[in-house]
Amino acid sequence: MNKKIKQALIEIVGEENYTDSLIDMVSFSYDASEHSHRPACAVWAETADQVSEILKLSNRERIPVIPRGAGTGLSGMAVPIEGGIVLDLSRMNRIVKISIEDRLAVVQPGVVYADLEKALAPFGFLFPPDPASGTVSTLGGNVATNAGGLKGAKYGTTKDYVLGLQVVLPDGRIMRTGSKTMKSVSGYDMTKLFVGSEGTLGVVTEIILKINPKPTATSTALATFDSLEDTGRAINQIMHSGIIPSALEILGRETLAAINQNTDLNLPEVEAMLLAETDGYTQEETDYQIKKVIQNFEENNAKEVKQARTDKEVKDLWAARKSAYAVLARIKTHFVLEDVTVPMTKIAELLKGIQAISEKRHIRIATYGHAGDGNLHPQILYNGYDPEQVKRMEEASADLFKLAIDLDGTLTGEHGIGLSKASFMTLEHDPVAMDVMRHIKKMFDPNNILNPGKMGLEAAPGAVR
Amino acid sequence: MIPEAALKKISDIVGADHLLDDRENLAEYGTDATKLEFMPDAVAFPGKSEEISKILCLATESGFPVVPRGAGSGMSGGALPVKGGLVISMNRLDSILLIDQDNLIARVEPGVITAHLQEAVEKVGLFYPPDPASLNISTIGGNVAECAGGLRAVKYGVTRDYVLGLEVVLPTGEIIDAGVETMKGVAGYDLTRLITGSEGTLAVITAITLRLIPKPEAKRTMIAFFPDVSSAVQTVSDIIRNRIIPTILEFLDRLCINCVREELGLSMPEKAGAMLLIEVDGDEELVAREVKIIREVCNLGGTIKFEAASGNEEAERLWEARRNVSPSLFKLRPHKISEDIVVPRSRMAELANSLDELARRYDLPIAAFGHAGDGNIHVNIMLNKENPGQLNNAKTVVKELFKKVIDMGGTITGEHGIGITKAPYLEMEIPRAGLDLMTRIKKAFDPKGILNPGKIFFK
Repeated sequence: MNKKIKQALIEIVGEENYTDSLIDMVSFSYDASEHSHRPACAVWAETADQVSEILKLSNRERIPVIPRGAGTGLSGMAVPIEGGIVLDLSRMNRIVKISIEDRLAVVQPGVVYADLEKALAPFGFLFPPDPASGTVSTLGGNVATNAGGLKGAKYGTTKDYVLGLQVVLPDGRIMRTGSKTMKSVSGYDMTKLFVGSEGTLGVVTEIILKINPKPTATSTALATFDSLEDTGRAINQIMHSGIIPSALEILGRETLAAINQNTDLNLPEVEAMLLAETDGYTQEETDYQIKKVIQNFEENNAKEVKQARTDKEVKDLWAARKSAYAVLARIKTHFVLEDVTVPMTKIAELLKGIQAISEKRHIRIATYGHAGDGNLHPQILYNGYDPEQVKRMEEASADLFKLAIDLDGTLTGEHGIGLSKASFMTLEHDPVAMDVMRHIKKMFDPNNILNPGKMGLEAAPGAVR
Repeated sequence: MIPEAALKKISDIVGADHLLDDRENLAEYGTDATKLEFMPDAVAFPGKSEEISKILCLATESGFPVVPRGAGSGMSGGALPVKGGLVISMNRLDSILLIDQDNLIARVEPGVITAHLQEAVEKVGLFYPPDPASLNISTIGGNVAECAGGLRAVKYGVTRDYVLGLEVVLPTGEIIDAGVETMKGVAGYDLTRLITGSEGTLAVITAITLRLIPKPEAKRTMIAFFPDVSSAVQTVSDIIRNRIIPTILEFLDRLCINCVREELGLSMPEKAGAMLLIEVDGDEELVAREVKIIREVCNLGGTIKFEAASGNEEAERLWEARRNVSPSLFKLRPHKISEDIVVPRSRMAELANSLDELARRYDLPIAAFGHAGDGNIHVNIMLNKENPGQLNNAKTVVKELFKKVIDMGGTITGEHGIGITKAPYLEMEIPRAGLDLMTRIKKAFDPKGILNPGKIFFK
């Protein structure tokens, strides 16, 4: 970083909040995706005013700024692909206010999801989206990517809970959107435009979140299936039975096998396993619901159906589901985790299509995910040091995206476009929609300093990856 | 004014049978629920999105205003042709294209009446929760354009929460598909939600994909009277603190109660200073448990009368006061100015005090009722518009009310939109940077400013 700019940044944030040491630059070059690129320096901002000063400076000097939370993103949106300044928001980690009466929490972007969960627990409330990375990911990152999670089928995703924001625009102006009320329709919905915009339109410095009462009882059941069609039918039947499970997860054969190789959970190696949870306030209520779910399993030729009876059984079942990502990550040197989403009736077709891609491209793909909202996570396993395997992984990803779009689905249900899917944006969005999005980006950020190179908004298709 | 040649082209596009341009038939398309009147130059009734695309191309070329219109039941003037031009009525685009029970989605054209969609999905055991008070006449297209709310919003949210995708025609004539047919999707900017609630100023909506949910098995209705607003508001907070989010949590103040009692002869406690209408839904187990807790919470909160309906008929009886409150207020004065402000719920008692104070200071009856569960209160300033003194005072009350609401961290409109009636006040709520961005977004979508001009942005 040139001396003058380094000095200016230090003046804004202080010596202790500036770094350009090699070890830090290497750390900031990664997130949870397969991409990496080193920044020139990184700063930790502690106030919205500092963020504003940083953006004014970089806007003037035309230096890229990459906002960063915990770096747990899976599509490369926190990777400083064009260098520049990483703006780390993890020290803005104050819970500003919790008001049960107003049913909201006001937080800074660096608050870790799990810390808000802990703070709300004594009141019996929660912020429901529950991303898998919740113990480390930040709320600012959740907002920037519109994070989802296991509870999506019943409770929706981050956007359903964001009531308002404080945002610093690329020219340094600080702006509030939304309000502290449960509803508002005054003017265009700027709040929702920032949610999921992957740090390309503004830097979020405060978030107003709607919170929900926390259920106190749950029931859990599992079912195994020998046929994907039966699995698909069971999912559909459950989702219109009048019961919305708080979680309905699916684990495919490859995933079950991998978990068995790495743990002593001893899962049945069938075509698919479904895991359902119902929630509520009394055990009678959640048992009543889970019985209906079980009935639907049975009516669709489930091989084995089991309701977890003890806390340990429940814990084991969820341990199996939650271990999938980590277990699969260890099998080969590298992996990409996709998150295609299809209408619920197309889940069986998607699973079969994934098997076909795996065979055609000679690459291992293990699938699991949120059956209740059609959001699956095929995890493609490969050796990143072998160019041949990298090529096959890329071909398999491209096949997968095309399959999802052919099934009326979307490239990404919750991980975002970032770098990984940037060149596939035009598969899903027609040229006019792309044009409108580019217009919006240009209007907010005419000098393209904020998180450049992401979301396929720069007009060179196929340039990334 | 629409140039003669352009009018001829519009007639060719939609067919002469689907164009009105004789003055006596135009009047009904120049007004809405605000009762304000503006005369359009013509009204077209297009039958498909391609026709709308051609009309918008033509309008952008020759520069005449185009105003999309659903049922005209809007409360803020969103459908009014304030600068004349062409009204395009969505009446003919009224098909339910798809109800997909497996994927829990519906796809509809914008002219479908809200109640018709609800009936159709309920027949197959599904549920479309948004229920604006106008649902028997309002259209889904209008609901999306205004982001309509309703009584059930406290539990189920507003229209925005159910819109998954849109087909829209941009002012330049291009047709785009925004959003998804899946339960989630984060690819690119959220154009769907940008267009939802944009009051027909960014694009004309021609098809809508909506999320549906399973219909709850059971529901129970309750009514509770309190001596004053603050004990009612405290009870609302306590219900939520007990981790119950009712489907309905409606509120009536003393003035409303008195009007309804006199008009309908309902038996309501003389001392009642506030009324809550509460409804919960879910499976039988859950509903029974919640009724029990709500009864306890109301008793602890000092209710002077509590009733839980045991059947549909009784529930209907409990609903009577809430359903009739709006028309019964006209016994106070012949006209009303109705606002739909929202405050954080913890400030509701404070708001009620302010309303009393404003009513005294400006000598006008102010009746408040609405959605206590989400802090969205319909404030009705009653007056005789023929009396210039009262009209002036009412306008001052509106301004002071908005100032108070914004000071409390609230918003000037929860579900009716800005339109023209609130446009002069938008600046009070939205900071300069925000307004600036909104104006630029408008300009990017609609460079010639032909689509629903004169709305949202004052000037």
